[in-house]
Amino acid sequence: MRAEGNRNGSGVKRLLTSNEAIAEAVKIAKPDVIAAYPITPQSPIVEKLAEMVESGELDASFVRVESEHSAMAVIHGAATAGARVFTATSSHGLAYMFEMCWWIAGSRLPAVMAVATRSIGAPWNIHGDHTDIMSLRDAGWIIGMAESAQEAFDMTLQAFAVSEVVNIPFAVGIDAFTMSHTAEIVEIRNAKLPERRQAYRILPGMEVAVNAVTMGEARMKARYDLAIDLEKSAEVIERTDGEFGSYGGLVEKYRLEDAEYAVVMAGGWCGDAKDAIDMLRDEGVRIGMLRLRFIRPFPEKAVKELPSEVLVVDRANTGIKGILGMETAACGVEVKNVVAGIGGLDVGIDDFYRLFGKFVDGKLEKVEWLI
Amino acid sequence: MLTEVTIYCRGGQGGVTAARVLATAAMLQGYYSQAMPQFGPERRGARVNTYLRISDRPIRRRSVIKNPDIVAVFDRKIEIDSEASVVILNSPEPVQIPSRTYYVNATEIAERHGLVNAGWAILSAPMSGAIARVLDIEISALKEAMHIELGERAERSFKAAKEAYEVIKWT
Repeated sequence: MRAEGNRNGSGVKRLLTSNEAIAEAVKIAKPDVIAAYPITPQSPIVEKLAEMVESGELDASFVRVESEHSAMAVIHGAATAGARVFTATSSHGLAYMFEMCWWIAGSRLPAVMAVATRSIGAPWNIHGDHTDIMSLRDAGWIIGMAESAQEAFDMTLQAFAVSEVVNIPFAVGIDAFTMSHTAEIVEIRNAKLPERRQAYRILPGMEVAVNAVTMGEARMKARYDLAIDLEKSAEVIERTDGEFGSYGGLVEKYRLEDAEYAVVMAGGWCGDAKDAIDMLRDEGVRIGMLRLRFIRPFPEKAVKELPSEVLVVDRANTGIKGILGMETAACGVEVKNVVAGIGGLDVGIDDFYRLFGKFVDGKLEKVEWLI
Repeated sequence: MLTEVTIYCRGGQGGVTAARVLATAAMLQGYYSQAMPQFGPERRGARVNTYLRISDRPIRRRSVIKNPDIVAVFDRKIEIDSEASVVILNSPEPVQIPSRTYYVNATEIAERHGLVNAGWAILSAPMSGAIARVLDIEISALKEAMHIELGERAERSFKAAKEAYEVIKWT
């Protein structure tokens, strides 16, 4: 048996998990410093990078730290001196480095972190949902969510390019296991990143103090500037989209052009949902998807252009509501909101088909949990 | 056309590796493919399902396979509840079930080729040979895939895979 299906594109095709695809992208980005602490399901990213450093394939300093808090502190320090930096984490690891995530964002330093998005205990669970990465929303990070190993590869490279222009750290989200450990065909595109640039550097011998104690005004202004620049990073993301896979910028619009019904989602499970949308389209239902490739900056403009019937399907909750449901509603859009797939609970094409059918039939409550 | 395969095995038997080798072999033949392990208790001997998808179109779905076209069973003692029309068994003799059944004594082949770890036969090589035959994957693609995925372990593994590819029987 033979097919020609995957022969398009000019790069080398390889079968890679999203973890491996991210490691390959990081290798191409040539970071100076990588610091990480292992945690399931992220560990294969930094294990692969450690192998590359050990074999000489990648000329970087790999700093083995005793915790995620230190991993973020190390890349913070290295970035301050002008180094291109990378780390990766998941779940409790992200929770443990949370404090330092605010420091690196507030210091306006470029950095890239992969997050294999996983439930946070209790109860103990190593599987996928978006609870962990959503906790970064307020810290002042750019937050991207890939749908495939290819997009994880492309977005990781774009992350360095964008982060180093806007001086804001960039997190790349991939779903635990269904992406992190699932091998798919990836085209290795050999992108060339610009030289590292950033707003300021502190080098040995310089007499300078940063992040000294501030009174309200300085802190307020710094926070405002970060908020404004995070919004403006959308322009850089859109402008560089074509160099990193042409996905559509902040969002991917799937069969939305004539849609009466729109589903808003993010992450690896969007593929199953698209297959369900195709089934409904075959039945004549005008339904499409707005896939949020970015949570920060939030794609407010695209959300406001949605048709009047909107369903947001969330993999993380705040109280009884889904987080993206709440964010979408905050743009002034009336939404139905379903929380599903928590803790890796499998949601397949048939589940999406039934759910979307119920949405189209007007039988969904304002907020529902798919349990 | 999408073909979905569920591999039933025990942790340590090589089901994840087999899926990956087969996905790479399918890729080398121009197909889109996906190898997806389902993780639970990652212990030696615990039951592990692994999923393999092969298609001539891009594969977007990442949920577990619920109705596989083919099931491959590395250990006959694993109870499976499947209506798949094709079953590939690690078994010295045929088993009477309604599905079209392929069988190969993968354990014996693995042991004879020295593919044993801590007393456990590693079945990834012979079972990937057997599954490749049923999926109509060319032996040359399987060989190349094993070199990509297994590195220096590929040579011995390929011998076992090739034998299974050639001796697999069906009812």
